[in-house]
Amino acid sequence: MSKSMSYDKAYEELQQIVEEMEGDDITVDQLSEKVKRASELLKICKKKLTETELDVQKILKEMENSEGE
Amino acid sequence: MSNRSSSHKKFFSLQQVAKSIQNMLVEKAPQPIWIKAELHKLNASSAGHCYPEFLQKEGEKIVAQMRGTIWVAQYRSIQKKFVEIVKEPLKDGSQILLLAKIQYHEIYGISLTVWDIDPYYALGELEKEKEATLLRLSQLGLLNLNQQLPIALLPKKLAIVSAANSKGYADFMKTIEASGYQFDTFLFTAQLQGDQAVGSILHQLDIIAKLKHHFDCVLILRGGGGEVGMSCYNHIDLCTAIARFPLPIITGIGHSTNLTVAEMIAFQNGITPTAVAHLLIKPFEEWEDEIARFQSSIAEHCHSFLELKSTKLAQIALEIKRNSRHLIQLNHLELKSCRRRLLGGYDRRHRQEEQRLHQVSVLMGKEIPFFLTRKAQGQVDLQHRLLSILRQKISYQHLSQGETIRRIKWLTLQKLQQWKQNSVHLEAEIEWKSPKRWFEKGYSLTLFNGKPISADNMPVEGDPLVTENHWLRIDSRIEGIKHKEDE
Repeated sequence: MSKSMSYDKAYEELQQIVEEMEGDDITVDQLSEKVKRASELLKICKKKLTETELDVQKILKEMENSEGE
Repeated sequence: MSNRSSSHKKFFSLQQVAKSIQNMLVEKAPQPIWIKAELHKLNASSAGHCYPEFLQKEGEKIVAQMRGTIWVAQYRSIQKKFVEIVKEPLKDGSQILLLAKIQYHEIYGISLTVWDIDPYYALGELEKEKEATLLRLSQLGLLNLNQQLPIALLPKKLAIVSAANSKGYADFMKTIEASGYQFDTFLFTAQLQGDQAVGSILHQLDIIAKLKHHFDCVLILRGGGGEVGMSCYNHIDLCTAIARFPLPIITGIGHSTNLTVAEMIAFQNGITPTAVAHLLIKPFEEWEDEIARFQSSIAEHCHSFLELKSTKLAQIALEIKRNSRHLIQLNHLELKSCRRRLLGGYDRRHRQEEQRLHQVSVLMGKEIPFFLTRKAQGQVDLQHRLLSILRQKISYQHLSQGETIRRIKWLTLQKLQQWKQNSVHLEAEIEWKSPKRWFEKGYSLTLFNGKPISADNMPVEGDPLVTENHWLRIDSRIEGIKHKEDE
């Protein structure tokens, strides 16, 4: 759950950066910073599509434990 | 005694009673009649016949109870109709409308021989059940509960309630695997239709609820069979569990007409498992598109921004070039004019000076030859005079040279004579003063270090001495010495 929050946040931040850039209200230095940050965020967002997030072992363990209850 | 006599009482045999009841039935109820009852238990036998138990209940209390028989032929035809129309097989516990003939068997008692069971009545009963469930849920405020749950932007971790061999499940998995996106699924197996379904699904939902932090949502997938046995999805217990479930539940149980309650109250109903798969894939596709759009938008803006800046720079550079060229030109012109002025001035001076010189030379030209002639003449005179003086001097020199030589000669002779005389005197003196005379007299000369003894040349005991006299040269060493001053 916490991991999806970080993806959501990344998505939001990315959206914001794009809006700022579309606004043309930006200096050259800011530009390079924003682009760097954006490329990090893009990486995170792309990972969401291909990364496994489920820990099957953990689930099985918890199931075992709860069965004992 | 007479009370006990049994001869007055009218009595019948059991069989007679039985026969009597039979006749009464034949008379009063010869035809089968429609009876409304609860099919408590079907009791199907291996031969294919059924021996059902019928009940009537008021609340929890049983107010009537009867057995029945359904012969295999009737049973088969009834089932066929039920599957076709009700989409449910005959179920224990359901309210039914049966067409039966009341039979009395002398041994087995009353039983109802079932000729038919009304499928539409059963359908109606199912509808009633469905309505009842909906009503109950509405009363409890649960109708929209699951639908109001928040769901992740990209639901990815899926708890799937299905059967491992379900075609619906297989279709779903194939579709999401083909999408190319990473979905994390975990299968919780359950019965998805029929009698056991409710209990089975509830059991799995219970387990999933305990693991809810691992998942984004729950899917209930079913498909491939006919749509028989779906009434479990109208069951109040199952629907309550779905309504109250902490995660969003998405159903894909393949019921295209006449939605069940479960499908109505679930977070989302995809109808078929494949459709559910597409539902889940869509946010991923949109996400990917958005990201791509962001990426290209950023690239575009960077590009145009930088182009703009570089154009500006180029403009500035051009201006600088132009301005500096202009300045340089101005400076050139200034330099030229300065140069002209300088040269002009110089020329003038030059010409002025030239003129002056010319004038001077003209003047001098007139004077100088005259001046030079005079000078020359003077020089010649001078030369003559010098020559004559020199000649004079030289002749003087000759004269005086001769004279000088003579004088020198004479003087030299004189001197020589004098020296001769002196040297003769000297010889005599030397002779007189030499130690030879003294040696002959017997005196000797003692030398120390080759020199006579003096204040500067004073020997001490042990020093070697050389003594010379007329006959001998003696080498000796001092044995004893006494200074004259000490006496």
